[in-house]
This record gives sequence, C-alpha cells and structure tokens, in this order.
Amino acid sequence: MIYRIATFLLVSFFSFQLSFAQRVLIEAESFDDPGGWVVDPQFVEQMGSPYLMAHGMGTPVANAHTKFKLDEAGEYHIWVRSKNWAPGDWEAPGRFQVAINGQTLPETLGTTPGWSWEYAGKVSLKAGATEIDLIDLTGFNGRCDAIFFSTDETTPPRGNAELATWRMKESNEASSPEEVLEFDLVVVGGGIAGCASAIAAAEQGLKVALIHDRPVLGGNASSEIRVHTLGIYGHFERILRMLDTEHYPNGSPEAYQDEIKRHKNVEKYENIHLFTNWRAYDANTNGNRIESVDARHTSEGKRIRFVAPRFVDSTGDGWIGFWAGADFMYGRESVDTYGEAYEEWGELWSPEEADDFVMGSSVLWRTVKADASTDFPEVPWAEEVAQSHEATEGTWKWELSRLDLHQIDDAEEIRDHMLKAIYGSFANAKKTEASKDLKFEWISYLIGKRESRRLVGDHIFTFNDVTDLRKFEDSVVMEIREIDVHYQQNLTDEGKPDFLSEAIFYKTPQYYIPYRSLYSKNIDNLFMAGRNFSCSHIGLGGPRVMRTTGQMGAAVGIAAVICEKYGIDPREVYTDHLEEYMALIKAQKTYNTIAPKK
Amino acid sequence: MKSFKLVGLALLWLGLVGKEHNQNPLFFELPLQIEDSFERIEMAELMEEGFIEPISLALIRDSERPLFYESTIRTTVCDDEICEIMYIKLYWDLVGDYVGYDTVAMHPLTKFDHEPFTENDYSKLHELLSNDGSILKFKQKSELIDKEKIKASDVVDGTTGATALEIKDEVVEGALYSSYTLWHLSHSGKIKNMINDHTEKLYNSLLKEDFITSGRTGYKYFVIQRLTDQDYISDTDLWTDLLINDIPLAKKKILSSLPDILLDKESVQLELVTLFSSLDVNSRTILLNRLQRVPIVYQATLEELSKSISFMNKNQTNVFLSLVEGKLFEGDVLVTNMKNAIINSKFVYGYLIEDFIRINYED
Repeated sequence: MIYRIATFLLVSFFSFQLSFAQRVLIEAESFDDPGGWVVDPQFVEQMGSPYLMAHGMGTPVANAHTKFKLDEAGEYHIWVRSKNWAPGDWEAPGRFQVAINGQTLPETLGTTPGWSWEYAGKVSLKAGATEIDLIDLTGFNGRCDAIFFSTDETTPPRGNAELATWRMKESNEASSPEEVLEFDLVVVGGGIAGCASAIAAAEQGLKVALIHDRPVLGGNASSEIRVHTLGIYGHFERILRMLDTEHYPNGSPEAYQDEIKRHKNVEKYENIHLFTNWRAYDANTNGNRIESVDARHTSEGKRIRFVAPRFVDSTGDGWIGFWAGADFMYGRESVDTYGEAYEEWGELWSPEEADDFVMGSSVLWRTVKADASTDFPEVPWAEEVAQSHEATEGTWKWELSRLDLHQIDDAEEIRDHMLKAIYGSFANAKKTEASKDLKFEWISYLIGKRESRRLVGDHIFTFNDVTDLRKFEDSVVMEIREIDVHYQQNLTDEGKPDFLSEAIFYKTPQYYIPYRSLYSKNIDNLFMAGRNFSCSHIGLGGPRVMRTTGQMGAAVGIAAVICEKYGIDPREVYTDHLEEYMALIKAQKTYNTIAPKK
Repeated sequence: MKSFKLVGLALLWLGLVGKEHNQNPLFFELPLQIEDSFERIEMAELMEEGFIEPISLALIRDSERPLFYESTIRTTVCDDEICEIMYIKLYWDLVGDYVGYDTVAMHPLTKFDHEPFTENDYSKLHELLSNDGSILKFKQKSELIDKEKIKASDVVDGTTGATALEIKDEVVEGALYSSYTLWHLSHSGKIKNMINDHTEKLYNSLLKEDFITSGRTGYKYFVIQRLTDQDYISDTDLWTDLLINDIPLAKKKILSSLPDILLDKESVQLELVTLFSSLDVNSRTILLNRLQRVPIVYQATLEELSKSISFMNKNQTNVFLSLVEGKLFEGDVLVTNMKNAIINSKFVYGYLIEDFIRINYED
C-alpha cells in the first residue's frame, strides 16, 4: 500500500525563537480499507482530488480505516477536507466523524457548504503507528477528500489553484510522473467506444494502452451506471458483440453479466494493456502534437506518463483534446449555425440563440421489495428538489440540464441534485401503503452523461447529414436510430420537477458518419470516439448511443493501424489511404484473424 | 362548405353508437363561445405512410375569426396480419395541438376483437391523445408487443400480457394499434406544421389579442415568437405580463429577445430585476447573463437585485458578484444586502460572498 504522506519540517520564527511544524497529509482515497465508503474520482478537475464517499443509501456505512507512521510526537491540529453537499436550514445529510487511534474526535464533519477544510480538533499523538477511522453517521453521502495533521494552527488553503500547489508540496510530488511507458496507441476512456477502439487496433497488432478511471469497463454501460446499449453494429458486429449489452431496462443488475463478458473479451488481448483505476490528468504537447498523456491512480496516487505516436480521446468529456488545445464545442448551437431547424419543435429542438441547454446527465436507481415493512429517514434537505414527486425507480427521464449548470464544471452539483431528487421522491413514495416494503437496491453514484464537450474534426456531423441522407466516401459509422434530443419537462410546465426530461424524435431511415468526424481538426495525432466526436448538438442526438459510439471506436482503432503502417497522422488516412482503410473497415464483418491472445 | 353546431366546452359525453354527425364532439377542449353556425373551409390534404386515402384538413371559423382545425379520417389499423378500417374525427387548435376527437356516424370505435369501445375506453383514448409525452412517441410499431410473451392463444392486439409492460397502462386495452395510430396522427409534426403555416396567414391584431387572452400556452407562445423589437419597445405591459405569468420556455424566449436598446434603460433593468425572485431558475440565469452583456448595469439595478441574492444558486451568485465587482462602497444598500445574505441561514452560498469580499476588498 502506498501512502501519499509527506512530512515536512517548516521553519517559522516567533520572537527570535526557532520552531518546527510537523505536517502530514493523508489522502482519503488512499486508505488501507475504505470499509463501506467508495472512491469517487469523477470531479478531480473541479475540486482537486478523488475522495471517499459514504454512499449508504440512507444506512450508515462501515468505517474506512487506515494506518500511517507519525515521525514526531506532538499536539496535532487536525483538518478534514469535506463538504456539506446539501446545505440549508437542516442538519447536513453527509455527517461523519474522525477517530484517531480509537478516540473519536467530537467535531461533526461534512457540515460546511463548499469544499473546505473543517477543523476536527486537537490531539496529542505519540510518534509511530497512528490509526484513522472515518465514521459515517448518516449513510447519506458524506465525503472526505483528505486529512491534514499539523502542529501548526494554520488552516490549509481553500481555493483550487492555491490548494493544488499546496497539495503537491505537502505530498512532495515531482512535476512529472515517476514512470514512463510507451505504446503504439493510447486510448483514454474505457467506455464502449474506447474498448472497441482498443480491440480494433490490437487485433491488427498494435500495442495499446487502455486507460480508464473506474475499476470496470463500459462507461455508461457498466454495472456502475447501467444504461443499455442502443444502435446498430454497422461494420463492426463482431467487435461490438464482445462489448455491448442486452436490451434490459436501464438500471438492471443484468448489467453485471454483460460486464463480465466485456472484461473477458478485452482482457484476452495480450497487446491491450489495461489500466483500470487510472485517470488521465494532462496531455503534454509539442506544437500541434500530443507527445504523452499523464495519468494518476485513483486511489494510490502513483503516476504514469503514457507516450505514443497517436491518442484516442474517448473520455466522453473530451479531456485529452481540451488539455492539448483542440478546438471544441459546448452547448446548443443556434438554429442558423448549421441550419438545423425542426419546425414543429422550434426552440425546444434548436434555439434561435445559442445556449447551454445541452442534454443532461442521469443517475439511475432501483428499489426492491423487502421481507417486511422498512423505514426510511426524514430527508428535509431533499424536499426542495423532490417536492411532492413520488417514485420508486429511476428511468432515462431522470435527467438534469439547467442553464446555470455546466455538465463538466458543475458535474458534482448535478449528481448531488439528482441524489436529492432520488432520496426525496423515494421518501415521498415511502409514505404510501404501496411502498412500505420497498427499500433501495441500488443508486448509482456516477452520473451518466449524454453530452459535454465535442471536439472539432475536419467534418462536423449535423442534422443536415441525417435529413439529406448523405453518404460519404469515408462513411465508417452507420445508424438507423432516430435523432433524439431532450429537453427539461419544466420548460413547458413549471409544475414539473426540474429533474425530469422529455425527448423529441426525428425518425430517419439511415444515416452515416464520416471518418473525418473522428479526428481532431487542429491536433494532428488525436482521434476521438464517443460522445465527444465532431458533431453539433443536434448531430449528437442520434449517434450518442453506445453501439454507435462503439462503431466510432472501432473505426478509429483501425485508422490507427493504417497510421502506424505508414507513419502518418489521422488526416492522411483520409487524404492518402482511404481505399485501403475502407477496405479494412468493410472486411471487419468477416475478419477472422485475431491478434495474439493470452 | 357546410355549417354545423358546436355547443359548449370540454369533455362532453353524449352517447355513442349511431350518433348523428352534427352533434357535439365526444371530447373537445376549446372553450368556444356558442355560435349558431361555423364555416368549414377545406385547407389541405396530406398523405401519410400506410394510409388508404389522404388526410383532409379543414379550418372551422365563425364570421370573425378562425376557431380550430379538424379532419375526418379513414385509415387502416393493422397488426402483422390483419387490417381493419377505423373512422374518426380529430380536432386541433389553431397552433396544431390536439384538443379532442369524435366518432363518425355509424362507425363506433372497436377493439381488435370487434367489441365496441366502452365509455371508459373512449375516455382513456382522449386521455392518451392529450398526453404529448406518451411513451408511444418513442416506440416503433414493432416494439409494441413483447414478442417473447406471445402465445398462440393470445389476442394479438394486446389484451393479454403480450403488450409490452411499459406501454400497457398508456393505451386503450385491446386497442393497442388503434391507440398507436391515433396518437401519432394527433401529434403529427406534418399536421402541426401545416396548421401553423395556415394560421400564420390568418394572423392579425384581432387574433393576436385572442391568443394573448386565451390562457392557452401554445397560443401565447405563437404570439411571443412573432414579437418584433418594436413590439417589445411599444408594449412593455404585454411582455412583462407574459414574463410573470407564462411558462418558462416563453420567459426564456422573451428574455433572450428583449432588444439591447431596451435593456440599456435603467427603468427596464429595474423592472426586470424586481421580477427576479418570481422567475424560474433558468430565466434568472438568462437575465443575469444578459445583464453581464449590457454596457452599464446601474447602481439602482444592482441594489434591487441584491434584495434577491438569497434566491440565487451557486453560479448565479458568482455572476452577481461579477456584476458588483468594483461597485461596492461601505455603508450602501448593496453592501448591506450582501452582508445580510452572508448571515441568512437559508442562503447557502454566503461563503462565496465572503470569499469574494476577502479577495477583492480585504487582501
């Protein structure tokens, strides 16, 4: 077990006397035993770090526990970085305490709005083995980012930039990763698109790194989020059948079976080097080229630099492109930007003026019948969101998009808003006779995003490509699924809860996405596959589902093979080797040669 | 052209089989004034896939104004093997929203086992057709039946467990395909477009006034979509009233469309920020974003807005703080209201204001 602990001797002067401050920073996600707490790395870019969360669905979870060696005895002030995620005129829902060497500190934590260092108390500690327990008091998503011990009384910094510098210093972290690995292709994001990309490239002999920030593959299709895959297979049925799901109801635990299949299929490729629980945090560029991507283990904190001639951004949020300076889009384009009117739906489909009313994020959940009547606590902090809405399960319609909320920058607030909606709606339902035996079976703590950044390619796929039934010489993805964009129900009926959406469909026989939408316009060696491909907001409406994004993944995996063969960039596959590329794409259906397997 | 009588308001129920053609519709939700005669004007024909004849749309009007649209439809309703002919009359309002239906003389609606609709079935059908968010919207015809559950003995139109579970509650029992066909007709985009285009040609000041006072969301939105800059400048009462009383989508449209020349005025800024706390969350965001873009946000505007800090969420508070940056003077109303917000236990973003003051005015 690796601790991210650093002890410093800091010199300060008081009345001409020299004193020494002992300081120890413990990252919560690095605990030896998280107990019932979960590691949540979704919001690193916004709040600075993965954190531990007591996701007990209303029942306090088992203690998280760790042990570290304290170098010096002393009187230590202890701060805990936490957040009251539902502040208001009530007791904070995510309350917890800290125990040091079995002694519970009196302060209740998780009570301050916004991420901040809460003072937990002062303890006299001996040098040597020191134990910490996080004691959840509620089961309602208390969260702990880090614990800081110091003989000095100075509170650690609160602001993000200042905190990041401080954290690096306290952790004694070098500016670049300790380990450097080289690959033929680095795929970042292990959703269906990323997995398909890795398989397609590996089958043709490329040495591929597949980096994913969760323990399991599949992204929105994983057992952690549980959205079923939709769309057709296109040219890639053989690959996508290794990865997709049955058409079970969203949220179904049947997702586990498909996940086992998915892992088995990805892991059988010897030249796919799987890095689960690694989250990319930077892309290092030279001019318009990415030279490497840096990633950090989500709990151990170790870092690796991944070097490759080409990269696939299948992060969903377009992080690799964003860090590398790729052109990207966010929000709904105005109706005139690409001429995407759907007359009968007007503003709900495509606004007169561009805005940020993108398709929202969902949090799925399920309840199950217990053997007997069960109680559920009062949740006053959820009432302002749930109001009088009653529900015993979530569907795709549980979705949040709001003009003031950015799907990336405000993702934690969106997730928390959905948690309030779920807890509050279930608490309302529990007051009825029909639901007295129900209890939560599962609530995802990961948000399932539909739309975020879209990286700009040589072609921007729009509604017109669908309505005009355009075929391209480089059509590598095909789809028959309707264009399907969402809007919030409360836009047309203020009485509706703000967390429910509605869909608008445009039915179409078949449409195609060109390869030119799958590589960056201005970053020479960057592919993209998944919802961050090059498209307009409306263009995303149809192909955002996971068999279709899987097609994109497979298509760029094969393009990477052509790139490797000729030592070229993605664009040149289109300009110089299209015939060979398309032949290879079309051969996928009957392709039998699989790269070396374990 | 022919005339007939239409009496009364919504949800009329007059018995079914064999009823006379010119009687009141079974379901009709427009609050029409009683008139002796209405004029029927054939408007257009539309051919939909799978229909045996074109759909003929007609406008019904009185001597002064258009009233609604209707179509008498003869179509087949088919499952995989069997087709039957269904007769029905559908009604839409002047912007193409479904408002009711009626049977056609001598052709009561029947289920697939030829049993006639019951009273409850007719009501259920209207309830279904009135739901523009019905699950039927998302379904292909092939998805209506859960094929795995069909047994040889099952009635194919889904009186048994064969109807996909999620659809079953939303359709008339035993009339799955009829429900499906009628919902897609009632909410046909093509028909809605044709109606809107036709109403556009008839749109005048009289109709505008009718629409504004109608209480119908669709009618008011039709007007809002057609407001010009001059309308906004000359008729402040109109848009402020809509801003207070209409749906969030309409408020969004108004706030986005207000001409810059209007928003530059102190009186208009004040009028708008006074409404802040009564607006929905998205309209508040649009208003704040627009204030960020005007050349001058007046001190009076900021002071008035600061009374509503406690209604702001996190990002709105941040926008507000960006608006007041450099404009805070100890002792003025703005600062007092901000300090009050910090100590207001119901306002959870006081820490943002504290941080802002610390960074900008103390450090």
